Amino acid sequence: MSDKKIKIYGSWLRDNYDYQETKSYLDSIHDENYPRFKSRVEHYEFLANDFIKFYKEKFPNLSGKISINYAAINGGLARYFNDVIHYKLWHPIIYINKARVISYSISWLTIYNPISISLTKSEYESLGKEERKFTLRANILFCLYVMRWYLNGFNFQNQQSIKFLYKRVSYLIQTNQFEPKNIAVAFEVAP
Amino acid sequence: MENTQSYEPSSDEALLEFASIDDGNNSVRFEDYRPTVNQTVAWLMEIEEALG
Repeated sequence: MSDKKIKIYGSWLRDNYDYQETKSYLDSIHDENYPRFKSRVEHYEFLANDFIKFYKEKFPNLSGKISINYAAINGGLARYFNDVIHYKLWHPIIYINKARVISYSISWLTIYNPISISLTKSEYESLGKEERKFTLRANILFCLYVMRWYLNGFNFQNQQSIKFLYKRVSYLIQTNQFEPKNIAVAFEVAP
Repeated sequence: MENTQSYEPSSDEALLEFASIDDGNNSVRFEDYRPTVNQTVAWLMEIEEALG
């Protein structure tokens, strides 16, 4: 076994708790899994590019105004991976429920907002109803698109459930109730 | 006291296993599922239709 074999689980309850030891162990886990994180970031960027391409074609007036905030994608995913690491480190689990994979990812995306739309007041006022609707909920649509991508990875094909999830998740995001646990519950009650 | 003992990992190997990152089943790698352009369009239409 490597020298990383440090028994930290529950160590904070002990008298001789060594914070630095725990911290260095956590850092080493982050380093080991950085390639996985990097790969996921690349795929989120791929999804965001496709998303933007679709809406630029649909709304030509917005074509020069929509962009991807790459820092937000990196930040949101980093927070997600950080959650996963702590989840597995401090709890006796091996695999994470698929509902939680999706809900934790989405919840960070809703905070970081990877899709940026820059418009002046007069530009916004000159937009049509559909375009305004899109500008106001672009990041929600992107979150749902990412959710759909994850569902495809899980071979989740129940169309009725997917439509239910779109409505429920968008409702939770719009009403500012997007905590991972709430969204995970939406998945559990899906028909 | 029995409850406290149940929180201890059974072995150091198990501990390392908890710490490894993989979302769900090891065979699931989301990066393998790159949507095609047609799939993207279909999904986005599906989302817009559901939201109204």
